[in-house]
Amino acid sequence: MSSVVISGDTSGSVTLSAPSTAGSSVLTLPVGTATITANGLNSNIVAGTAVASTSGTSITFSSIPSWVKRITVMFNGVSTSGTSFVQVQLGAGSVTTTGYKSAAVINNNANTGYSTYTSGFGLESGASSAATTNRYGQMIISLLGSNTWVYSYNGWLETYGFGGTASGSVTLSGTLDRVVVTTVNGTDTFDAGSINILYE
Amino acid sequence: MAITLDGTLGINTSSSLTTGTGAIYNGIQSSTAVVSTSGTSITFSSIPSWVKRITVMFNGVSISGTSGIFCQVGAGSLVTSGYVSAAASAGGTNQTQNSSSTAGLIVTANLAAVNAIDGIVFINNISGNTWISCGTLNPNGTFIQTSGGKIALSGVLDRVVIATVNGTDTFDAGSINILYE
Repeated sequence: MSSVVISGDTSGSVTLSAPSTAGSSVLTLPVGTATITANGLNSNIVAGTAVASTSGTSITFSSIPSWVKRITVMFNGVSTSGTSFVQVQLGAGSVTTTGYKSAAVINNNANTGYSTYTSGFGLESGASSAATTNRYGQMIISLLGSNTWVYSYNGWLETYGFGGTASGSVTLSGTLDRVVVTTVNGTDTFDAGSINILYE
Repeated sequence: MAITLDGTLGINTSSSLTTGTGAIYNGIQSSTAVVSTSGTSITFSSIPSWVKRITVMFNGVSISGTSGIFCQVGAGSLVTSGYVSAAASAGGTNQTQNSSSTAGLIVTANLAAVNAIDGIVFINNISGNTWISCGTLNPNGTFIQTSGGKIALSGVLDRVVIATVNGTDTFDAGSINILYE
């Protein structure tokens, strides 16, 4: 292939236009072994729609594209009605509720406890389970391969001033398509805050 | 503004620009997961020069001894000194454990031979050829090991090696992969 150069002046933009026909439009670049560099490229991280976590026992982000390799779940002052720990579940066609390997701790000098989760990716441990706890933090979930996802979480528990740290993994039966935020007992309801995801 | 497409145009895998969502497929590149069941180290090489973040993912990774695990990086060759790194445990009776290393970005504070670790270590380019790491791992779903570190390379990073600290303990379970972007 000979060189193709599109040169602009000091400002402006270059647009690749998809067909005007309604539907799914994809512009495909040829397969190769080299690199495209685009400084200042934006919007390669896609945001979900923030959900007010003020009711219900779970919040679902569905229709996550199959090409996603990383999901960030953001917690903004999230509280529940009871003492059950908040956890994040993944799904492939349906939500996966077993098979998780996850542990969480509270980072303070007085608490040596930890909590183990098997039904989801955990955020918290010990005293963080109080109904008045507001959670702030982010969970990063990355695709290792073959539908195995690993995560790490760092956050803050406002009521106590504790930090929370967690990590773990799960292998799904298929391609991830959803993230569900819920509680371990599945009956406590969300009563404050908001949650959103980024995917890329 | 100028955009140049030259004769070397190409992307490693199926690569598309999509409309509507603003997403770019394969903005994050995935390497090939490696089964960590033998050997003293696992190498991910040929990392492109444009990479600014590497995500090292551990899935049930175990080693034969207690020397621990660190990540090393390289620029043309593997760098085995000059690191500033430390790891600490939190939770349970392990929370007073900590360790440090100048030979790698250490990611475990105390690791029993029976421990299988799950979690993530991020290695981010802060400036020039200086890289910063932070990690969160859990052994057997029991407690947490957090870590941080830095290394200034003499050139452009092109490899990541996950190795046992003493160089003689061997990997005996799990899998490891990286994302780079």
